[in-house]
Amino acid sequence: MTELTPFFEKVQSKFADLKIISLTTADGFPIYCHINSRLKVEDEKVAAVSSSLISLSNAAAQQMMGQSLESTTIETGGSNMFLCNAQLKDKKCVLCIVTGPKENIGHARYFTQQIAQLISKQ
Amino acid sequence: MHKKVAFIGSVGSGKTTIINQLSSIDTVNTDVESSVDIGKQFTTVGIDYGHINLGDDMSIGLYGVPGQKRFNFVWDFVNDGLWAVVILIKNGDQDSLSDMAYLMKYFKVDQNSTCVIGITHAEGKETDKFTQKVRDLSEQMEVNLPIYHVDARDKSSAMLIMNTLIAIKETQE
Repeated sequence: MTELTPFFEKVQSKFADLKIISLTTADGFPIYCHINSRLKVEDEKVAAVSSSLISLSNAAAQQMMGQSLESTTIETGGSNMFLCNAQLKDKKCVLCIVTGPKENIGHARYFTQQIAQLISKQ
Repeated sequence: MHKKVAFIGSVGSGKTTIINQLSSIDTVNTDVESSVDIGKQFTTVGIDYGHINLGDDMSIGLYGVPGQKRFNFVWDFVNDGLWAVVILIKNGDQDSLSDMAYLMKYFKVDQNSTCVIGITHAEGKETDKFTQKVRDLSEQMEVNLPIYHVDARDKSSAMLIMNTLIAIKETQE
């Protein structure tokens, strides 16, 4: 899968209710993806959706707010999705983390950004 | 009155380029560097958005979608409430021609649709055989749509597409 597998297996322990953790190229190809076995979603779909959402978020941040995007959060009744830009060996990537209702939003958001920073140091 | 026009077509057919030419505002651009060889450096992964003002009472939103099929969920975002569709096909590209049939079915383009086909990358190249293939495919799909050779980099060429769409609408009303 990827040399990042041990890294991602370690960070999963930081979350109380993790559903998906995915690292994707900017153009939507999966680099690493772990999906909770109860979810019926494919890693290619996670990758494509993540790249689309972050590209639109980047455009909105720049053109509407005149600033660089830090993160994007999507909230539903039972899950939350966190997305942010990442960098792996000079290539732009997208980190996507989906958590369940037991996960504190602020905690998940903080760790998403921390993980993105750690990825850039790999 | 705000109308919605979708620009659809295979990878590298000129969707982002033509919207950049037509738009009277800075476009919302969602191009990223491609990690695989698709024949060009950048690819659209979100929605390109531009805007044309046509007088006081009408404006047109220009929506460009990714050409890669794995982003077809983005196609659904623009598929609702379309005023017109522009199909761009890359001259001489068999994949682009194959995608034309798929896209026409996906976007439910039929003889009643306001739709124009633009063949791009035709400048200085032989086009007769490929244009005939596009025409033949349109006949198989039972539609008779205007087919133009268009330079997506040239505003007057791109405006020909828009003027044709407006003319079609006026004849339908």
